[in-house]
Parts: sequence; C-alpha cells; structure tokens
Amino acid sequence: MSHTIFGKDAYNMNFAMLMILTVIEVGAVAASVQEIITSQMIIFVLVSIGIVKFLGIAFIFMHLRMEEDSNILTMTALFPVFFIGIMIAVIALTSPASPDSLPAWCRFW
Amino acid sequence: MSYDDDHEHHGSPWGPHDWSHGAPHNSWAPIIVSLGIGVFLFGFASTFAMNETMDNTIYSAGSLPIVLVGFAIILSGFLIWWRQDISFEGHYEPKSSGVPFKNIDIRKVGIWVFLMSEMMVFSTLFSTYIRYRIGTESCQAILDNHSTFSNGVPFTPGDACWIPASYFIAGSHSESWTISLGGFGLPDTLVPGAINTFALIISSFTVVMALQTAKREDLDADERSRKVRNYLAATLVLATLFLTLKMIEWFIGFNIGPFHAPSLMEDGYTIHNTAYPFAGSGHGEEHLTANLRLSASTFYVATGTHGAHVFGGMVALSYMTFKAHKGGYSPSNAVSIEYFGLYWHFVDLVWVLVFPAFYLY
Repeated sequence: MSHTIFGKDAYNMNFAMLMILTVIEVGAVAASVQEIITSQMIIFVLVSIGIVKFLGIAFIFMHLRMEEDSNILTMTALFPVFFIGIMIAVIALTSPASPDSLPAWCRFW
Repeated sequence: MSYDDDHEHHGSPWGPHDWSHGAPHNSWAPIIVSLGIGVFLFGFASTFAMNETMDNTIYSAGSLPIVLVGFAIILSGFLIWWRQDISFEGHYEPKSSGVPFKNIDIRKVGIWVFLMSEMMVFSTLFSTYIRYRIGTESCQAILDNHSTFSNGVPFTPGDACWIPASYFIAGSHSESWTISLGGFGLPDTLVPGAINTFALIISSFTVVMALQTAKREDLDADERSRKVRNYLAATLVLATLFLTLKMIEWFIGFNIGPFHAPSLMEDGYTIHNTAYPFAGSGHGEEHLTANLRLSASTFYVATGTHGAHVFGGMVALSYMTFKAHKGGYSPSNAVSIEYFGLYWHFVDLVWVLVFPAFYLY
C-alpha cells in the first residue's frame, strides 16, 4: 500500500526532508564555527532538527504511522521511555564522582 | 493467509513446532542465543582489563576459551533459528495470539521488542555521555579561567577535563578549510562524518525502495528480483562506505587533492592519552596538559557500538542481496525485507542522535 504526504509518495517526501535537514544541520555548525551564530543557538538548532529527523524516520520509514498496527507498535516503542527517563535522571544528571562512593561489591576494582 | 491448512507440520528436532494448531512459533533459539551472548561478553570482559594505574590495557589469553565457547553457543542458536525458518522462506507469518499484540505478525512484534532492548543499550551510552559532558569541566573553560577549575582549584597537568570529539572534527582545531558552503567555511575533518550521515539516510531510502519493489505485483519476477537486488546492493555499498569512512576518520586520515585531514588517532584523540597539549582558542602559546581518556573513551565506545551495528547489518545485507539475486523475494515474502528495514532504520535513527551529539557539538 502506498501512502502520500501532500499528494506525493511518503517515502520520497521523507527522504527529501531528511536530506535537506542534514544540509541545514551541517551548515549551522559551519556558521557556529565561524561564530555567526551562538553556541546556545547551535544547541537549539541541532536538538530541533534531531527530533524532526528522528520522528520522520520512526513514523514514515519504520511505519509507526499509516499502518493498521501502528498504534500498538508506537506504544511498544514508547515503553522504554520510562526506563530511559529513570536512566537519564539517575545516571546522566548525577555527579561524575558518584561511582567512587559505591560499595566494593558493585565495582570491579 | 491459511498456510496452516495447506502444509503438514511435524515435530522437529530443531525445536517445538505447533504451527498446525495455530500456536505461536515457539523456539529455543532466542534463549540459546541470549545464553551465548552472556557467556561471550563475560569472557570478552575478562580478556581485556585495565592495569592498576588505569592507563593501559592488559590482555589475558586465559579467558579466550570462554569467548570461543560463547561464540559457538551464539552460532548454534542462530543455526537452530535459521533451520526452523528456512523451510518457509518468509511466506508463512504466524500471528501473535496474546493481548496486546493479538493478530499482529509475531516476527514484527519480536523485532520491535528487540529494537527496544537496543534502545536501552544506546540509552546507557547517551546517559554516560550526558553525565560526563555535564559533570566534567571543559578544557576551554578551564583555560579561559587561567588554568583554574570553577571551584578555584588550580589545574594540574594530567587532570581530566572535557575536550569533545567535535573539537577535532568540526571545531576550530582544524587547519584545513577548503570547503565553502555559501561563504561558510567547513573543516575538512567534518567531511567523513557528513558524508556518512547522507550515506545512512540514502541507505534507509534504498531499503524502503527494496521493500516497495518486492511487494509490486505488476512487475514480472525477473525484473522485480533484479530491482530488489540492486536496491539491496546499493544499501550494502553505502554501509561499506560508512564503515570505510569511519576507519579513515579514526585511524588513517586523508589527503586527496585540496582536501586534507589527519585521523583522530594522529591528532592524539585516544583513550590512553593523559597528556594532550590543549591550546584552545584565543590563548596564544598557553595550553593545558589534559587527560583525554574520559571524553575519548565515551566517544569511541558510543560510535564504535553504532559501527558494530552497521557491520551486523552488512552481514545480513550480504545474505539478502544474494537471496534477491537468486530470485528469493516475492510479494508474499517481502516482509523479511521489512523486518531487516526496521533494524536498519533504527541504526539510522541512532546515528541521527550520535552525529550532532558527538560530531557537531
């Protein structure tokens, strides 16, 4: 079954969008290196484009939208988000020195 | 599809089959493969360890037999899996019978569960990256602060501070600026990573085109097989390009016409470098003698794990291209390409996050 976006083939449209966004991404970094845009701006640009590209691949190429079983598979794909949230909260945002205070049985040395 | 009505299924020494009664496709293979991976990783972790001072790797051949046993168990698990499925060549799709996946192709559910476990693997790597990136002071900030940490402690040569890979790849470190994008200079060192990003996106597209073509009933079998083979071969070529450029970026560097870039190793961005002379920007002759192990190991483990997944995909792609060449795909068994495609898009998806996080910022 072939799906469309704005009357065009969904795969082709998604592919074109991904290519254009990647060009913008690389161009934005070049602008950042030349100090044309600030470091805060480059973080915003990279995160925004990353999210859009992520969703484009997941929804169109991986069929998390537009198929009969899309909803339940989207829920399956979202399941680890809970654990990822815990991981980021507990590991990613803690102090780098935290492992030093772990009991010996948790460590290899 | 009423495949069950048309085919007799007998008990098999390769695993419990009960397809004729509508039961899911039970198999011991995943448990055997999981066991094998556990043994393999246990042996692998014991084979390479850090020394007392944590500045070098110790190789211990004593654990090599465990590695080989683990590898053999993994292979036997895959052999059983392959043997169970090969007779159907993807024409038969057992449906899941339990809530919440009732009536969804069970292999599709399996692939998604597998991908979510993969998501957890990469999440650990990203968590580690975020934690160290946020928690370790950047070398540039310390240099700007006259070789002093933000808490006032003076920086001692050999102390750890953070130099992101992007400093070498997309930062002001590069001396070669031959590529111009509408007036913007683009470091040559960024070229392999940028090409790789486009290569993976194009390869995702060629996989969906292979799937779309394999499902087309208006094409005759020969033309369909030829087109599917070509799309899969193109994907394989792009994956090979990806890993080749990765090797060039890490180990070799390049010097082609006006384009020149040293490798990351040549630049000293290694997991063993405890004395990198970081000059930063705007400080003349001033520099820090920085310990790079933290930032370099975070970069190499994350991007290396992704590269290993690309390699795994290449192995599968080689088989699928050969199968397509032999005319093995038709509209009724094209789902095999879809399931591989899910894995491949996931690899692309991870790169979409890895590229900006590790290469650009």
